Amino acid sequence: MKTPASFVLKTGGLALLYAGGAAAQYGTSTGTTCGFPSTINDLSSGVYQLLGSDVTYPVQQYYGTATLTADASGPPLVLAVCKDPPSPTADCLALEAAPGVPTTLSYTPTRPNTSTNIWIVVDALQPAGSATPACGSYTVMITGPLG
Amino acid sequence: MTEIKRFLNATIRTDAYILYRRRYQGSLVILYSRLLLFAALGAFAPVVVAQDCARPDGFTETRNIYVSTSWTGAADTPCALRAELSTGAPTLASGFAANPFAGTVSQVRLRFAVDYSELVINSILKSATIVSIVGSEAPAASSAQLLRLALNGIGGVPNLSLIYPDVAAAPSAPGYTARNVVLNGTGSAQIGIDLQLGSSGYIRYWIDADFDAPPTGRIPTTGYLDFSARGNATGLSMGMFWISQSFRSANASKALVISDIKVDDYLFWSGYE
Repeated sequence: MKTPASFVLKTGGLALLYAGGAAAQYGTSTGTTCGFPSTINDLSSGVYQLLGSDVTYPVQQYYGTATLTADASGPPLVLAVCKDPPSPTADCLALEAAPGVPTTLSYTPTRPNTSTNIWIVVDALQPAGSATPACGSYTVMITGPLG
Repeated sequence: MTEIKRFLNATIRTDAYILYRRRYQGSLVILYSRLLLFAALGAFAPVVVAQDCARPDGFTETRNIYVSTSWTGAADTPCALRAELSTGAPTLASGFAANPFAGTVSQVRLRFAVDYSELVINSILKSATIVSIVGSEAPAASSAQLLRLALNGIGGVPNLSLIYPDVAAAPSAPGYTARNVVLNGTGSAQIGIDLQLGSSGYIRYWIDADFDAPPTGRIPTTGYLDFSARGNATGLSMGMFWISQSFRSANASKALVISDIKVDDYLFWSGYE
């Protein structure tokens, strides 16, 4: 289901998608949160507590959509879209992606902002009562204003 | 609206200062030009005033995933935050407004009124968070969260849960514990929080009590909580989030309203500083 989110981006240009500092193609990427540490535990002042391993994609673009599909044989994952660099108070929205089910967040400009990036986060959850975060493989598709 | 008030207040202060200076310099030309500017702003101001209620200082616009949250209120009155849960809301359904602090602070004082009269909160399985305060640091395998306030139906009646770090928990566990306070049966409550951070931290809370009265409770009852592993506070969020499945299914299309929101309001705290 497509759910609107209100994020603001000031400048556009060519969109770039990369993870872990390595350049990647804009569009569809596959990856895994396994082997990545949990670097972002809280977003939007604790509205989202995501204790699992995570991967972050900074993307430079005005608006668009991000669609996350968690591997059908793996655990559910979380897709977050942030208009600030991930931190406990980063301005983000997040949605859980059930295994094998594409989950989409869209982001559109609604007011002036000095940010030129948005940050797309693929995160794992930490099962209740477990000290070990879940992790899994995924496909993420990021589209810009031109699709 | 707040920005306009600040600008106008700044303009008034600036003009008073100029008047003081010009009285001795024999010239009021610049003052008159400022007054003309002020008059022009005044002519436009009512148009803006008529459009919006006054959002509490520091709070953002609302963010929504399957919860419809909005700032509501008559023009030129303080906004209330209304959060209505959508049907079929998933696990991470959330509607909130954030208040990221300009820097970190060692003490957070918060007060608000919450109207939950529409909601069904009659079981321990029905729980929704309405306030979250986070720190600057997250211990390994845990969260930066300092304090979370949730409504839940422990014992079949509405409670306010204050969820805070359990300093006795193993470092590998998320490590939170809670104190639950039964709310009155009217469907609304006045809540005040005083969160003191650092190694000698504590939480004081007022439920339906004036702020110049003794607090309803203190966590811990005696001694202190060591918050230092989570740093000082960096911001808070209010709304409806971290909503249990039972709460979501029982409260689709129902709303809560948070009003009279004040953060770091010293005005009402003189009796127990």
